[in-house]
Amino acid sequence: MNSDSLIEVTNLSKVFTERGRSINALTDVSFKLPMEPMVLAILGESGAGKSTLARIVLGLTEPTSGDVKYKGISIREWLKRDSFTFRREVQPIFQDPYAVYNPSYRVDRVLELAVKKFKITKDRRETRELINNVLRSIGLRPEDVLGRYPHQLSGGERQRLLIARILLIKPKLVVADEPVSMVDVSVKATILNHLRELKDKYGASVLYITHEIPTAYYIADEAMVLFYGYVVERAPMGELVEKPLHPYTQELTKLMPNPDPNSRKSLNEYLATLDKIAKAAEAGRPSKGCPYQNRCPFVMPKCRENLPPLIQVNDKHYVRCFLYT
Amino acid sequence: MSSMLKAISERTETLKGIAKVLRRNWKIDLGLGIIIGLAVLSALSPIIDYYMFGPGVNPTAIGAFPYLLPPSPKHPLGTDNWGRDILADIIKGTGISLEIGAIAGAVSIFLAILLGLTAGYLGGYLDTSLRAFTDTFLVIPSWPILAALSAVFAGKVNLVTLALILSIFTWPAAARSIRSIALSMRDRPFIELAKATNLNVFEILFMEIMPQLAPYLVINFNYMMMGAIFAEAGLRFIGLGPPGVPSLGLIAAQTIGAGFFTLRPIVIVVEVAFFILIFMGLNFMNIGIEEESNPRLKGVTGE
Amino acid sequence: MSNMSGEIILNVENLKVYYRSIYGLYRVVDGVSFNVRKGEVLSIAGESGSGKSTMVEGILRLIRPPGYIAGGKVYYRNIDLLSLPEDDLRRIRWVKISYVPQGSMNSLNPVLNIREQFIDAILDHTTMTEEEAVKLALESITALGLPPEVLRMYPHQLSGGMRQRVIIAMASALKPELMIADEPVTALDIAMVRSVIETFKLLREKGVTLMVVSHDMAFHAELGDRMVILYAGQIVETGDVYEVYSEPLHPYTKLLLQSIPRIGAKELKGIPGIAPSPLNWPPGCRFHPRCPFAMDICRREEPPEVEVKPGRRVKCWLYAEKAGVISK
Repeated sequence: MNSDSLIEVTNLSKVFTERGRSINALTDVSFKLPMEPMVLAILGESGAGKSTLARIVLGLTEPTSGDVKYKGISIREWLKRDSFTFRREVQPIFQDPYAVYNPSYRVDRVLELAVKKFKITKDRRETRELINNVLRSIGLRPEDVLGRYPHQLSGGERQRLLIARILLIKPKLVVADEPVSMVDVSVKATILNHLRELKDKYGASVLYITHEIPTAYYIADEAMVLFYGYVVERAPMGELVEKPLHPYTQELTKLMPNPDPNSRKSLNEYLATLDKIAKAAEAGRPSKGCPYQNRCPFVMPKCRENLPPLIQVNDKHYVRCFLYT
Repeated sequence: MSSMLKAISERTETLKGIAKVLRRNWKIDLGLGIIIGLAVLSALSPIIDYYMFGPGVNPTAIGAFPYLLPPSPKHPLGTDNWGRDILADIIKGTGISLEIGAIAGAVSIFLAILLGLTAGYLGGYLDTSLRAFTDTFLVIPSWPILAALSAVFAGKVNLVTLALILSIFTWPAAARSIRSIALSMRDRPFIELAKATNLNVFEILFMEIMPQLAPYLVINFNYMMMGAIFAEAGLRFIGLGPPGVPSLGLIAAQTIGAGFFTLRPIVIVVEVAFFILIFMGLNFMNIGIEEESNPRLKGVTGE
Repeated sequence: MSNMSGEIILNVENLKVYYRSIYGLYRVVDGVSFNVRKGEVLSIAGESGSGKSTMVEGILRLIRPPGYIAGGKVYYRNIDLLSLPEDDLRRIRWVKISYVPQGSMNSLNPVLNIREQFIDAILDHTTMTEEEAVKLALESITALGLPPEVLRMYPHQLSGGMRQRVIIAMASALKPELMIADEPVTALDIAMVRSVIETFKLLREKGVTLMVVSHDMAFHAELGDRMVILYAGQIVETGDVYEVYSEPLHPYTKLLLQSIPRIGAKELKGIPGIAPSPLNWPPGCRFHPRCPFAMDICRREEPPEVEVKPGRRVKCWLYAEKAGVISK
């Protein structure tokens, strides 16, 4: 039962078939999360497979092939034998702060149900007290948010309630799928701070999925970049942003909007790249070779024939690119 | 003890919620009002009979009155060729048709939940096989079979059995509808959160999906009811169906068959009016419920 | 730098948009005044509940009951937009002032290809022949850097960013003088956001004046010339974008800028408290419950708008003693 990794993903692939067409959402993804609390960011654009990965680690979808182990035991086993413990230890924060609530019920239910199903307290009075305390600890007044229906609260408040829910359950791993992308700037910072706290104060690990690199920079220790379902780079967060090796990561860091007006670049800086991206989107996923071949400024003939392997460039830094073999 | 109190408070929540909706949506009120009105009218017919005709008189019994009396204050639509007060027949018949429709509707919804909800939510092989089963029923030409069944079992069928037979052909459409709604709800984030909270399948089906499904269940129930009532009427017009169940359809068929179209057209008009009322009532309810269920306009400020 | 001397083409004076409801009166937009100069990009910044989208709808007279325009004036050049007859207004919309509403990239008809929708839109607003419309569509698409093949495609074949650029191309086809865009980059990822930013830059180069509403502060930093910050239905700060970002005046602006995630930021501070409701704006300065610099007067009296220097305004008691007071 014991192992040295909290999460171990081995050769994970997920294929979706829709009306005869199959989409490789994830291909051959492998990585580990150690037992020590850590925040790993999963970066990529839409269609990269990030959400699919999240749902697999959460045990909400099954992989097509490959394996995901939590504390050394495959998730499938966990769900069969002891879903209670698995669910209590691996919890999500989803992107849409509205869709995550059942509109037929008040928002309290989301908190009360968590406490009830995971047997966190003994009776209703204790539950009430615990919920109130947790809400106050994140800066929400219970009287402002409890007893309301989802549509009566703002997106920021709803998302913070989901943080409260996490704090009630105290999981070991939080899988946050774009938790701040639908939320105002001022609340973003608050929620990101809570996510940092989850690791620093509560000893939980966080799998933080996002396309907003600056938010990942703020909370993550390491980051993994996905493109068309492949891992193309993995490195400590600072290194990934300061010295990105894979051309895709370089493209992302170059295209990122910068909140400093003084670093504005002229129009022409980006046009060539954007043009390439548009043409590549039209061509679609390449059927063989490197998935990034149609957008890559350094593409070589062999990139179109063979898939580059994921190689270790130095301690903790991996790249999937022929430029480095 | 406290869980019972909690259950009661949740029920009152729901009742309060329903009361709020009734107060603000006139279409539901109108539709519900019509149907309840018709049902109550029919249920009260013994009392009406007592006042109109005195104790012990059954105005719908054969030979209760002289044949083919013209309309008068005592018999607003006159009597038919079997001596029955036509208006009394129509009122009682409406009640019976509503009963048939309601039973057929209830059975349909029950089967729709059993077979549609589970198929839609669970998916996989269960879905495929249940869908095949449902589709078979959808595809079978219900008309000829209904006709054949009616012909074979003519006298021996009572109201309930008739309703059950009709429901065999109304349930597949409901099941399909419920299934597709369950399917669309399956991947919604609040269901995923429920799974992540370790809720089991039943808890998800009944506590998460059902409340959302409720309006659609009512809508489907109404549609099934309409379908059954009109199918039954259709059967009557080709001379089939148990004579012992005097539904509005039977009354209408009999009066038309007896020549009332030319003899006393007002009778036909009133019969058609009652059919229209049933139709309107159920439809208004459905329109109103659909309005309510549509994602509410996002908060007044729309920010 | 911003164009301080450009002629004013849109002038909004004390605009108010309220909504009536059974709970009371929502004073969503509560007296905003600003102008748009020819050739510039005016950034309207603010978070949910600030009233920015409603303000734009008010300017374009798209407010439907229970909402209504409770006061103020909107002038496009010398034309009073708020009292214009519907027909005249329709002639101005699209041709002179075009609008890219929130979520419009999802409003493309899924069963028609881009070319057909484009032509429909053009023919709706002009008396061109179909041939001319096709030419115009192609011109508009390529002018914004989109490949001509886009016209053949259906919406679902295009990414979110591409769809948004198509909408922008449609809105710019009739060469409007002013384009107003509401939240053009929400729900788009990095490459898409960048492509929309560059598309707007292209438009600006072609002389289109832009008014862009967004809660994305990084987006405004990339594109805006001048900006206006909205809070609780009012404008709390106005000024040149570079100045506002480097030396924010209003406490809300300061806290807002400190909340923006950016590379290199070690500490991000959110803004404590919750945004107030338009049903019940706080008395005095609407930001006082959340303001770290709140003084006694802030709780009692609404602050005046102060022009600290030409073009640079802030609505805050901290600055009321200095400089000339404009209005209250």
